[in-house]
Amino acid sequence: MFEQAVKKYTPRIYKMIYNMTNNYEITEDLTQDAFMNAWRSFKSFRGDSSIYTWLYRIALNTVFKYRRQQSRMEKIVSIDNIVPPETKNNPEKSLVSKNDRQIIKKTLYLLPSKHQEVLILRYYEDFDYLKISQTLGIPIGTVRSRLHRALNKLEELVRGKR
Amino acid sequence: MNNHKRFEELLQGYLDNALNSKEKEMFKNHLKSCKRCEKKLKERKNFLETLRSTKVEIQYPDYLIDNILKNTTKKQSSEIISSKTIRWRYLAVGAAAILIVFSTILFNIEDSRHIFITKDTKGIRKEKILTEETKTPKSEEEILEQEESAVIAEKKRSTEEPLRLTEEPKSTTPETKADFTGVEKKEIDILSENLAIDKTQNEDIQKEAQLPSIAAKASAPSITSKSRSKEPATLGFDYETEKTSADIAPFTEDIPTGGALDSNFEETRFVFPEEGSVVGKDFEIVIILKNPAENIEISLDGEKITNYTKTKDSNIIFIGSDSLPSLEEGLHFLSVSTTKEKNLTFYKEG
Repeated sequence: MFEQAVKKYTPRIYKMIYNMTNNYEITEDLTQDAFMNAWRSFKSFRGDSSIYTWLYRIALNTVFKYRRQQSRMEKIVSIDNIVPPETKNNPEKSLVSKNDRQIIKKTLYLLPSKHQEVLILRYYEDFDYLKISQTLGIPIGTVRSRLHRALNKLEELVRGKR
Repeated sequence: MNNHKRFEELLQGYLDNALNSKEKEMFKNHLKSCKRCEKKLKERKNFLETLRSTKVEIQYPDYLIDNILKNTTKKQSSEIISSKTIRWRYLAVGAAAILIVFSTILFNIEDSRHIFITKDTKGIRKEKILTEETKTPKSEEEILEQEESAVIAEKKRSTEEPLRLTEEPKSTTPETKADFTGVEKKEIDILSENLAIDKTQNEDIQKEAQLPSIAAKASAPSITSKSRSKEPATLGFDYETEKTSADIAPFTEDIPTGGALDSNFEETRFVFPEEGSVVGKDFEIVIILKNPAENIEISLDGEKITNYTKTKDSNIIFIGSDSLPSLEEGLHFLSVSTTKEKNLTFYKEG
């Protein structure tokens, strides 16, 4: 069962982790770490959730744990430094542009983990609220309010730098 | 204003198609009369499209699945180590050490059982073997020697009393005494500086072996025994960690993570799961028995645990985090009783 899950979900997990790290080498290491973490607790996987959502949860936590380790070693880039210079003196520019993609992505990484995870599951993985709720183990109402706050925060940060 | 805030929340649900029909209708009606929400809806829609477009589609490397399987299902769980932490030289040394130990066991031990204990600490793989020897005396001389050893061991134990993980009953029944006459404790450190462990060295190690010192290292207070049996509560320690370099929590060699041995205890694991483990809000306990057992009684810090699962043949017991109380960092006391009661002490990492 675990072997099948590895074969089936590695592509998706790998893709998700890459979108959170933007680095092939780190993605590969973290994907392996995530599955090893899963394997270690597989014996006690009770099947309350689908193995798919269970693996996502583990993968997300593996990435966040890695980030925390990194943030202890490296100074986190200030959000002020992630805005391309050309946008600074262009307040009339529409919120969404090609340049904004880079800003949005980098700003997404700076959000608190709980905000990042709902945004990633919803808009990268296209999970509906129920699936997000199952993956993160939180009520659907919390998913909705957390998504609302996460998007407001993300939008506010991106907009604030324009 | 408050009303408007509510519609802002509904807006997100509307875009995510997550509103029920009543909410949807309500929001649509509001939208007709609210320019602000209409503008916000348009902006947010564009924003989400951009957010979605930042997702990168990439292909995983072909070898990745094989690598994962090699490190998981094709590997014994107790040997799981992160690919990043593999140190071939340690594996080679470990293999050599295992051979040495096996030959030691074959030549010097008549009736023994042994358990491999692995620890992966700061990338250094250290392996220890604890053996319980029960030699049958063959001559009066040997019996005398054993009795002397027992007296010396008893003296040693009495001086170490404050460091003991579990209290040994002061009085034992004759039957119990007979069971444990001549029991020797050995701790063989495979990765000792000189790997050529011979019989002489074993004797030295044997003299130096102070099993309960683990508790002292962990600055453990003395624990009151809750053993109901008359036999010595702790024969040895089997502690194991499956932690890898990926673990965040620092793991020091001084912290025992697992419990005691009994003739029916294959191994006991206290699993402090990764954050990634859904099951592991705190931790869980896995007890593996050599033989199926009935009437298992488990208690943690004196509180009986009734909610646990076991395999069909009753030799693997899982106590999930949901059945365990929230534990603070420090030493805790686990009592597992089958035919004999055993007390285990472990350390909850912070």
